[in-house]
Amino acid sequence: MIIKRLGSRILFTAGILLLLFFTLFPFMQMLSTSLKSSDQLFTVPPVWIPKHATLSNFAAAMQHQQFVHYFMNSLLVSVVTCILVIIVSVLAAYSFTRLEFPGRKFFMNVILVSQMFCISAVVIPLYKIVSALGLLNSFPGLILAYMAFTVPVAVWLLRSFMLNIPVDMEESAMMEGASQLQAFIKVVVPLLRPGIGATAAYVFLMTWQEFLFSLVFMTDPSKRTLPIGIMDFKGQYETNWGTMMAASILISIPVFVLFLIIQRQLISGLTEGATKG
Amino acid sequence: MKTRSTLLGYALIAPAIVLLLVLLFIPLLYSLQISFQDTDLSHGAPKWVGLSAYVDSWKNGELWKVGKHSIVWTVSVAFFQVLVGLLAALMLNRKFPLRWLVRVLVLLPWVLPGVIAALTWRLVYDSQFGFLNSLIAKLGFGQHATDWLGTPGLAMFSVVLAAIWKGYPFAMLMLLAALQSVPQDQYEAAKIDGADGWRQFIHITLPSISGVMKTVVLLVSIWTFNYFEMIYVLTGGGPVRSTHIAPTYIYELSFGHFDFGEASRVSVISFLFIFLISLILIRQMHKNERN
Repeated sequence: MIIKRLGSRILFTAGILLLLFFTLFPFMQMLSTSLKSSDQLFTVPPVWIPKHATLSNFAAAMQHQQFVHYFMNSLLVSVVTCILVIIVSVLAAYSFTRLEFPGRKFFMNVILVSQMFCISAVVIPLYKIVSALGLLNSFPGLILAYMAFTVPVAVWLLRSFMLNIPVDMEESAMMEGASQLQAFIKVVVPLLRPGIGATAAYVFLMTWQEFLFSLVFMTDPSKRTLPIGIMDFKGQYETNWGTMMAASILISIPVFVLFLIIQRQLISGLTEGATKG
Repeated sequence: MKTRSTLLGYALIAPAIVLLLVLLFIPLLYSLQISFQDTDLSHGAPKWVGLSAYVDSWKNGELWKVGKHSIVWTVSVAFFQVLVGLLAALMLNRKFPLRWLVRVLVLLPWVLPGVIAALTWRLVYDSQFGFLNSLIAKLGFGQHATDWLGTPGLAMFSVVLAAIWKGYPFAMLMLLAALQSVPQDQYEAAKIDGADGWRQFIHITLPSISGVMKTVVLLVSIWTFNYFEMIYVLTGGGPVRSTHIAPTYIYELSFGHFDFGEASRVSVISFLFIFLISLILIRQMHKNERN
């Protein structure tokens, strides 16, 4: 019995360590490369722990003239997309959970089906439409495309958060003479705040790292977002891996912090959406 | 109690529905229209050829090859993401010292922006500077200069491994949340009845998390099928087109060769494929709910 227990203990610990190693292995290379001075970058075989760690790659990434520019572009696109998606989706989610009207089920299925769209299935027509409208290289064009791909999930998440808010409170507010709109603003919105936060963060994470549309729509280098901009460091002939990995770390930190803050909310929204169908 | 209010109901869903109609459903129809055209630049000006465009694409053979890669890619990535995610969730559901830290660390790949994940793996796989070859040497299997991304038989394996790494934490998070909601008294009862760990897993754990598991499979499969930047950055579809999946092939056709017709045919076929699979999975989920 004791031996069996000890055996399963060892197996369990080995499992955890293996999982951690698999997960962190690429990060080890990322961190190690970002800290190497240029003479250590191209040694074969590679050194795992740099002898003289330096932050010069981080400084170089920050000084790269376009980096801050791309950062601002990304921030603008992601924040605006977030705000618009939340407005549109809160309204729709409210309608789906609190109102009864003919065709409600049908329109809910429209939202559900939209989640299954492959991005690649509409990238060509959207590109043609956007370029016909003269919106290539413009932020509104990109934001609209991002909205189309985040609204379905956002509606779905907000709907599951809203289902958790008891209707009684709104009803009693309305009994006391509040209009439906007042009840919505005074009762539902405050209770929904964590759900809105989680959904907004999800939309932000998705748009912050979106690649294909940005690559296709933003051909003008000054309009690029970060995920495309980072490819700058991958020069035509040789890649400056040190600066690129340093820049990668700088881009990833805000996303990671944001995710840590919202993960509990997000997961409960996603899993409840899954079980409540 | 739901308030009956037709006008307000429509007014509130209108922005979302119009947006999806204009930006997803109409473009899809437009895609269908383009797909009936022959836009091969070497054939002169685009012309309408109707359904025979599809027949020609099929005969060309490239379509089937890309389709096969897409299926291999999607099935193997989704399967292993869910498997690794489930194993990780089962381990992290147990209490052990520093569990909170492990939980945070394993989320890193999923939160990392996709293109950065791809660039990092490109470096890991590098035949000279990559840590993978150097790990193999450190483990005592000798110094090799394996070109993980440049060897036709290996490239698919390499991109699949990187994609599993990127996405398994999502499966883990969802399944962990599901595991935590399994009522503990069921396990107590099973223990009294003398059921061992494996039996408990099959009869209590698995049925309780199957709802969430199906959603995870559905979401992960759709995401993987559409996962563009991993392959675009790692191999660009090469070597000798051995890792081209639908999205990278569509990109190459349309923005590399400006053959929008052929690209649209690939789009339409992949849309139908994903749509049918999702429909089957969703129907399955609803059936189980009713029982």
